[in-house]
Amino acid sequence: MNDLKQIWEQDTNGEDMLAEILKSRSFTHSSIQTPLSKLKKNLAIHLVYAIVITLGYAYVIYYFPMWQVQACMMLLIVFNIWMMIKSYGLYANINLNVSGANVLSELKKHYHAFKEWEKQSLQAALFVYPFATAGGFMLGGSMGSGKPVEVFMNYPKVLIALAICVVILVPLGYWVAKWMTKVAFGKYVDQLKERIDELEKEG
Amino acid sequence: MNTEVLFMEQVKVNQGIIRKLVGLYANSEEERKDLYQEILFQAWKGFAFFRGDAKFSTWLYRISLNTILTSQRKVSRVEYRESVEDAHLTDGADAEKHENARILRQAIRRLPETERAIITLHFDGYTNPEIAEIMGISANNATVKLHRIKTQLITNLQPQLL
Repeated sequence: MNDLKQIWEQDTNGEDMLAEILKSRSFTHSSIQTPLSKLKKNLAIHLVYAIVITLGYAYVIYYFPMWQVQACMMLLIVFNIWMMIKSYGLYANINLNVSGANVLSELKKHYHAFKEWEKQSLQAALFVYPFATAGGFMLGGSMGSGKPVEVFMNYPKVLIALAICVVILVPLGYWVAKWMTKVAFGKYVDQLKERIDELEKEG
Repeated sequence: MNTEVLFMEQVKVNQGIIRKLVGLYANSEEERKDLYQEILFQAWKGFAFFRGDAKFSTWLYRISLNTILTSQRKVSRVEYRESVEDAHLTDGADAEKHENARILRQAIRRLPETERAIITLHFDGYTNPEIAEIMGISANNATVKLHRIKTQLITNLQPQLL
């Protein structure tokens, strides 16, 4: 083992790297997009979208005075505001600086940020789709048929159609959200988990 | 003394830490430069918070490992082809030393990513409790892991080293 230590100490591979880096790049600025910085950017974009969508719900409430539709939109607005607060909390808590803490806690910090984001995305899919589907269905049905929502929703076939839409769209929305989070950061999150497991495994 | 000058002085003295770690994890010359730059950047940003209760080299080790292990890279256990400048070092008396170092690096790269960190800390003279503290694991776990890594390395390397 001492021989290996000696070989390690004598390894001069890439000895001039610091000079090379300083010649062509700056150490006070990094243009490298880390997964955490991408996540933070994603959260900021989602927040902007959430604001625009919430304003859209408010528009529907104002211009389509059907209490059933308005109730669905109100619930969606409340849920959106709750999600925005949670997302902003996560956004503000993400510290892009790598700390001098121990490796395991740094890995966990990154891992939990991504898991929290995934949880929020899935919650959004589960809560938004039933109400968005119901609201959109009632609004579209009422406008298309030219009848008030109470009358339109009185047909058993319409109720069954609404139930079918909810049953199909909610799991689909959940699955799409899950798939999108996996596509965006799945591989990276798996790598983090693998490293955490390696360290936590005794021996 | 100017903070930037002080920082660069410390980095110059300890640049071997970044150089060797980056060489064990990067999968291409470009990635090696990117990781090196990112470590320098993170160290510079964190330097204001460096209180000096640990040695600068230990702090830089933590920053380097945290930057590398939380970065997004393709995990590869095979060393990429070294640059042309490095190849020149193989001429003359340094050839054997250089080849042995290459074989050792290659063998370390075959280990899982966190184990590479543990063995490099050991090679750089850190004690088992220090390794445990840097990695965030128990001292007992560090000792057991290190023993297993060393056995694996020696078994893999004995026939290859000149």
